[in-house]
Amino acid sequence: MMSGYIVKRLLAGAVTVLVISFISFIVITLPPGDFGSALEQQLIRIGGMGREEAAHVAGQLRAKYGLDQPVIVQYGSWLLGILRGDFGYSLRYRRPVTEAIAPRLGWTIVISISALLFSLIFGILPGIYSATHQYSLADYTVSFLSFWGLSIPNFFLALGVMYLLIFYGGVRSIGGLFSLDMALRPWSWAKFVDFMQHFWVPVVIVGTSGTAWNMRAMRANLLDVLGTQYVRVARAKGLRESVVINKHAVRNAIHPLVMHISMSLPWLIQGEIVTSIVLGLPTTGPMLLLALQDQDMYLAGSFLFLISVLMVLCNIIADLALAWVDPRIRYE
Amino acid sequence: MRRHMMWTLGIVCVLAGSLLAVGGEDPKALGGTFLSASDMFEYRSLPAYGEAPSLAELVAQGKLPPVEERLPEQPFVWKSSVMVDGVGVYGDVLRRSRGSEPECWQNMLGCYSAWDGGEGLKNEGLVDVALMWMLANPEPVPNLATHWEWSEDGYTLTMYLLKGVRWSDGAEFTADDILFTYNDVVLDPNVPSLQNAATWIFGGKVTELEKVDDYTIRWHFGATFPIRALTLMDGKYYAVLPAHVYKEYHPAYNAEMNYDDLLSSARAGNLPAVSIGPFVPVHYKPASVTVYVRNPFYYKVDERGNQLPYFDAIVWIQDPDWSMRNYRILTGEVDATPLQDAQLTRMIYAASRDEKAPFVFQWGPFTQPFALFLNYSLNRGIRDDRDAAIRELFRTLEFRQALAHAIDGEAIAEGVFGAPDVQAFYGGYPSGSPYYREDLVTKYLYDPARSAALLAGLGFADPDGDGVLNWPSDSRIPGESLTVELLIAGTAPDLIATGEAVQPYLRAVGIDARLRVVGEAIYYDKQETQEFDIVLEPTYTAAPDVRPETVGPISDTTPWWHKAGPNGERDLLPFEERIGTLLRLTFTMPDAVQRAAVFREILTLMTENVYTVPIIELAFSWLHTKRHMNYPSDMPVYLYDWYHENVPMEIRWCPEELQLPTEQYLQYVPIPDIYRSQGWYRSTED
Repeated sequence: MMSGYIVKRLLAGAVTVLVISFISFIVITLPPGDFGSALEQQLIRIGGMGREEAAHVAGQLRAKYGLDQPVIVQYGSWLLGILRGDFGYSLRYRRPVTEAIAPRLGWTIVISISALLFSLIFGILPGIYSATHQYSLADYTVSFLSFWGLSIPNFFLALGVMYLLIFYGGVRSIGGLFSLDMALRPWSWAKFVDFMQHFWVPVVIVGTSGTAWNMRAMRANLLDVLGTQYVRVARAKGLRESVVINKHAVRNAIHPLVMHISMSLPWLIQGEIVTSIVLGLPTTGPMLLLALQDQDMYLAGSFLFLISVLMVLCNIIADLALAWVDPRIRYE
Repeated sequence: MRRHMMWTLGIVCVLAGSLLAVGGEDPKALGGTFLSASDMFEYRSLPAYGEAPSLAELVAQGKLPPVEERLPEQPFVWKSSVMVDGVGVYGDVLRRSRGSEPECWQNMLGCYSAWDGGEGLKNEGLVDVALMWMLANPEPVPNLATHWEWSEDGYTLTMYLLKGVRWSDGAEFTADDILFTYNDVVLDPNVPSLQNAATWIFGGKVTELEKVDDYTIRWHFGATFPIRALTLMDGKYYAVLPAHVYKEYHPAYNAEMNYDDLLSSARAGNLPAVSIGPFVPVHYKPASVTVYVRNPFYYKVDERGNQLPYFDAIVWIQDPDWSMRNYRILTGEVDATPLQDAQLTRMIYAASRDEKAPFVFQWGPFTQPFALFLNYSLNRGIRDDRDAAIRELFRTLEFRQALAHAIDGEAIAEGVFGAPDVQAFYGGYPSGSPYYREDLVTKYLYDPARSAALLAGLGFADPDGDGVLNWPSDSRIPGESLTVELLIAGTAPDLIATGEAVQPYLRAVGIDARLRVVGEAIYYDKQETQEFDIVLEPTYTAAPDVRPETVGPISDTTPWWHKAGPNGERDLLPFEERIGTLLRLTFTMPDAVQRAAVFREILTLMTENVYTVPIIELAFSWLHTKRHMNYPSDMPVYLYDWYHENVPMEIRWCPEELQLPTEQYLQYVPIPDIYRSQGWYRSTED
C-alpha cells in the first residue's frame, strides 16, 4: 500500500514537473527578443562596440544556437537532451549548463544548509523557552525579535550590516567568501579565519527570517499542545517537566516545522537571490536572476526544472516524514 | 535647500580651484598635448635592459631566456613625456571587480574575456586607436606596425612590422600571424569574429592582404585612401592571433579539426592563454577570481630599458554585477574603477574628501551626452496615420527647435544630478570631444515662450483647454492630442531619471510625452523595426572619426534612428544628406588636420538643425587608489576606447613602500615549458 502510494505520487510528480518545465520555458522566451538582444546591449554598453557590429555578432549567435527556431522546437530538443542528461548550453557563460552551475552549487548548498541549521537552533530553542515561560520578559523579548526578523527584508538587513561593518567596524573586505588576498592561497588556519569572518554574514542574514518564523511557529504550536489533555495526563502521572516538554509536547508541536523545512529544501540549490547579489556571493541565486533577465533560457529553464523536481520529491518526502512522526497519519 | 546649495557651492569651488590649476598648464594633463606619436614613443635599441626580479629569478633557473633575447632588437620605448609621475618600479598588483565572467581568451573567435580590460590587456593590434586622445590632431598611432606608406594612387598600403616581437610562449610574431587572422578568421564566414568580410569592403571590393616578407604586409583596397581601414586595425577589433597555435585547430590547415574545435580551443579553462600584450591570463576560477600576470616576452620598455609592465599581476574579483566595484573602491578592496553612475557621484566624492580615503576622485572630460532621438523614417515602422503624422512633424525643423527650446538642460543637470559632472548639452559632440568648438555650436536655450510660439506657428492649438495641444484640422489626425512616446531602456537609472525630468518640460508647452521604460530585448527590437517615436539614449558622438555611424547616415542601416526602408529606400532630410556626404569624405582623407575641419563643419550642421534634441552631458569620473602612479589628470573614461586602454596599463606603477604582496600570483608566471605541458596547447613550431 505504501509503495503503491509512493509510485502514484511519483507519477503525478513527473507530470507536474513536465508541465512546470513547459510553462517556464514558454514564459522565459515570451518577451520579445532573446539572449541575442541582451548580448547586443552588453556589447554596446560595456564592450563599446558599434551597433552594427553588435547586431552582427548577435545574429551569428542566434544562427548558431537555433534561437530563431520556433519555441516549441527549442523546448522539444531541450527536453530530449535532459533525458540524456544534457541540460543544454548556457549562452551567457558559453559552456554547458551543468558546467556553469557546478562551481557555484557547492557554496550555495553550504550557505543554505548553514543558514537552515542556524534558523533551526536559534529558532526552535528560544521558541520552546518562550512557550514554557509565557508572558515572561524573555517571552516578550523573543516575540519582539521574531517580529522584527520577519519584517525586515533580507537584502535591507544585508545592506545595513555591510554599512555598519565598513563605516563603524573598519572592515576592509566586504562581500564574497574570502578576501582577495586569501582567495588564491591554499587552505590554512589564516584562510579559515578569513573565511569565517566573511561567512557569518550571509548565514546570519539569510537565517534571520527563518529563525523568526521558527520561533513564532514553535511557540504557538507548543502552547497549543501544552493545553491538550494528554499533556495534563503526563504531568498527572508524575513525569518530570523536561520529559513532558521535550519527549511528548515538542515532538507533536514540531510537525508544521517539519513540513516547512521539507518544503524549503528545494530552495537550497537556489539560495537567497537578492542577498547574494548584495553580498557578492558566488552562489547560484544571482546566476538564476541574470539568466532570467538575459533570456538565457536553457540555464534558467534548467534551474526551474531542478527546483520543481526537488519540490515534488521534497513534497513526497515531507508527507512520508510526517507519517513517520505522527502515527495517526497513514496513506493508502 | 540651503545645505544643498552649500554642498554645490563647495564642490564648485573645489572644481574651480582645480580647473585653475589645470588652466592649460597642468603638467599631468595629456589630452591633445602631443603633435605626433613619435613624441610619445619610439622604436630603438638601448644599451642595457632591465627586468622584473621575479623574471630574473626564472632566467637564473634557466626557465626563461635572458631579457635581451626576449625583447626585439629595437623594442618599443615609452618616453617619459607620457609618464606624468615618472619612470616606475616593479611590483604590486592591480585589483579590479567586474560583473561578467570570461568565456574565452581569444575574442577574435567570437567570445569575450569579460571586459574591463580582459581583452585589451592581452591583445595588441597593428595600430592603437585608444591613445588618439593624447594627440592634437587625432589619428591612429603605430603599435605592432612601426610605420606605413600609402601608394601614390591610394589603393595600396604597405605596413612594416616590428621585428623580434614574441608571443608569451616564446614563439616569434611575424606577418603570418596577421595574415592568418585576416584570411582565416576575419574573412572566414564560419568563424564568428568581430569583423568579417563586409567590414573590409571599400569601393565595393573586399580588401586583400598580401605578405611581402616576414615583416612587411601590403593591403590592396578597392577605393582610394580608405583612412577608416586604419582604425579597423586597432587591437580591439583586430586582435592578432598566434597562427602557430590556431593553425593546429583550424579546419583549413588541420583536417582532423572542425570549426567547433577551433571555437572552443580558447575556452576559459585553457590556460595560460597565449598573449602578446603586457599581461597573460593564467588563472581563472568561476565565481571567484581571474588572474593575469606579467608577460615575460612583452616587447615594450621604458626609457631606462626596463621591460614593462611594472605591475606583477592584475586580478579581477568576480561580483554578481557591475555596481559592487563602486563600493569596493571605498573600502580599498579594488584599485581602480570608473564611476559611470551619476547618482553616486555626490556620495563617492564626499567619501574621497576624507584624508583617510584610500582613493582619488578624478573628474573626467564630458564625453557622454543624453539626447532625444526622433524617428524620421517615412518608410519603416509606420503602423497607422498617427505614426505617419508624427514622423512628418519630426521632420519639420520648427518642431525640433520647439523641443530644444522647451527643455532646460541646466535645470535638469542641477536638479536631477546636482553634481559638477553633469551639465547642459547643446548638441553635436560633447564638450570633451577633440573636435568640439563652442563657437560652432548653435545653442537653443531654454525659452518655453519661443517654443510655444513655434508650435502655434505649426498650427497646434488647444481648443479643449486640457493643457495638451491638438493636431491641426489639416493634419492626418485632426483634433487628436499631441502625444509622443518616449522609449527608455530599463537598465539605466540615469536615463530614466532624465526622462522623468524632461516630461514636465514638454508638458508645459503642451506636448504629452509618455515614458515607456522597457527591457533590453524590446528596446532593441523596437529600434530594429523603427517602431518608436522618440528614444532617450546616450549619444556616442565624442569620437566621430572612429564612430561615424553614430553621427549620421553612412550606410543603409545608419544612423540607427533613421535607417533606410525595407527595400533600401532612403528619405533623408537635406542636412542629413550633407552630413552623410561629409562623413564619407573623411573616410578617404589622409590628412588629420583636414579631417578635423570637416568634422567641425558637421558639428555646425548637427546643432543648427537639431538632428537630435540635446539634454545633458555627463563626465564619467575615474577613481583610483592613491598607491598608483602615472594616471593623467584628464584621462577620459571613454573616448576612443575605455579607461583600461586610455593610459597604457604597462606604465602604471606603485611605489615600493605601498606595494601589496604578489607571490601568490607570481607562481603562475608562464614559461614556455608550462605551455607545452598543457593538453590543449599545440604549436606548429614543435
